[in-house]
Amino acid sequence: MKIGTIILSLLLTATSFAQDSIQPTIELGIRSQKYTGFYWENGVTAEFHLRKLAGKFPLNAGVTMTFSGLGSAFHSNALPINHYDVFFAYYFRKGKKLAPTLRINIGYDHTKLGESIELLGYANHALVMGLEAGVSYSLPKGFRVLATGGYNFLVVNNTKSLGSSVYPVFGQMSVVYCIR
Amino acid sequence: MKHLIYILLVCSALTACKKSDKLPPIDNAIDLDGTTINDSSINHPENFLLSVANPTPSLLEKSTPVIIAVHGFSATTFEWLEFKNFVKAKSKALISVVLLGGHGRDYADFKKATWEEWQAPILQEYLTLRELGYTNISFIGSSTGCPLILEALSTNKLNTDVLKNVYFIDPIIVPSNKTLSLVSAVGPALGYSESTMELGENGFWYKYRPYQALEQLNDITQIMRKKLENGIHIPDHVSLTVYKAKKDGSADPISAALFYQGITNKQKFNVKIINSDLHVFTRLKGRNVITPEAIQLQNDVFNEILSTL
Repeated sequence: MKIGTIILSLLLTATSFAQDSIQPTIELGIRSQKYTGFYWENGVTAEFHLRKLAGKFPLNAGVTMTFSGLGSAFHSNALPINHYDVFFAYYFRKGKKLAPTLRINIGYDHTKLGESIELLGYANHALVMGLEAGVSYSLPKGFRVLATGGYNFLVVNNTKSLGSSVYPVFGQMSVVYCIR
Repeated sequence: MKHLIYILLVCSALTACKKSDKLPPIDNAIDLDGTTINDSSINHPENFLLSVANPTPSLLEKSTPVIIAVHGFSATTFEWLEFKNFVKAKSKALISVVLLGGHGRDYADFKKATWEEWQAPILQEYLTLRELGYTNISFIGSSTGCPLILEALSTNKLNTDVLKNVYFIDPIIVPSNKTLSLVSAVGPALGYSESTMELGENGFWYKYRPYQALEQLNDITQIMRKKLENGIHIPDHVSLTVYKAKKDGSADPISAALFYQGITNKQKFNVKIINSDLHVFTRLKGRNVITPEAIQLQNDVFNEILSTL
């Protein structure tokens, strides 16, 4: 949970630094994702948009935190997995209701393997990089829905063990609400 | 121009999705996948199956511990050859080595067999031995043999009154190669995958794995993962020991964690993490490199299993 707090703090610091000069849009919402052949994870997402970074480029970035404890591991013996991502997104057809989007995720994955297993050196942390592609659809009253598919192309474990609970392909749906 | 690019993209995607019916380049002279080489247990079941070798056991034999050995995906009875010789040399127990359905024959048989068909000979041997009067039976499974045994235990396919112990060696619940989860999507386009095999393994493992067989492997591992997530209660009188190599290129070590989480009655349940990087570390024959440590480990685990029967 610590890493999630750090990421969220960094994001909030960045947005508050930016807000005086370039007025970012900030969205908060919920995210539900499913790995092909593995778990459901549910959690929260935050995204902010700067129309012009350094006067030149649009910036869309954010964080997501998803937990199998709120999905497959809820009231089951599935492994509790916490997943944290920082992402950068690009939207095509900016300003239109339906906008295709691409994003890159850089994440951290922690699997609780159970005390007796963890002590024996099993991998329970991983750094993950992935790409997502899909669409965003703007709804009335500041809501927006995102549906994307993703591919984790890089998984680096904390030990030399081959163990990993990160699956390559996933799909996700998010609903976000613009808070400013 | 834009439309032309879209059309080309759709056409190339459809071409990629086209079902591949190509056959692998099987060499009948050396590959198990061909029609010439079969597992020895098909022609000489009396050398492998106790139910065939000794259908009229004496009173003493009926109470002697019997262990049924079950091999893994694409393998044959060869996987348990060393254990079979070890058990016979010690003369403390009887052994029966089962050949999974669809295995040890040829590519066409492997391609069409379902996981239920892989499992059938396990059930048949146990139930036949029980019927013949054997009263102290145990299972030892490796890799895919483990979920097949566990599925039978969890669905009451076996009358477990004479079952004493179950040993799992590197059970596969989560594969190390996570792309197995995509086999139904990409498999039809690829047709089959070729496994890397060491020289001494030629003729004892299928070299080519049709996507249909990989789909079956994906199915049984998914089924057992979900069952473990819901909790599996093994019969209270049966002890279950899971041996899991720390590094394993086939069965992800988190499979051991899923057992740890998913077996609900832990009184007679044990997970032992083994310091090895071999998948099915109990089989050394046929490997290119066999270290003294690996031999010692194999011997220790064999002795431990035999002492707990």
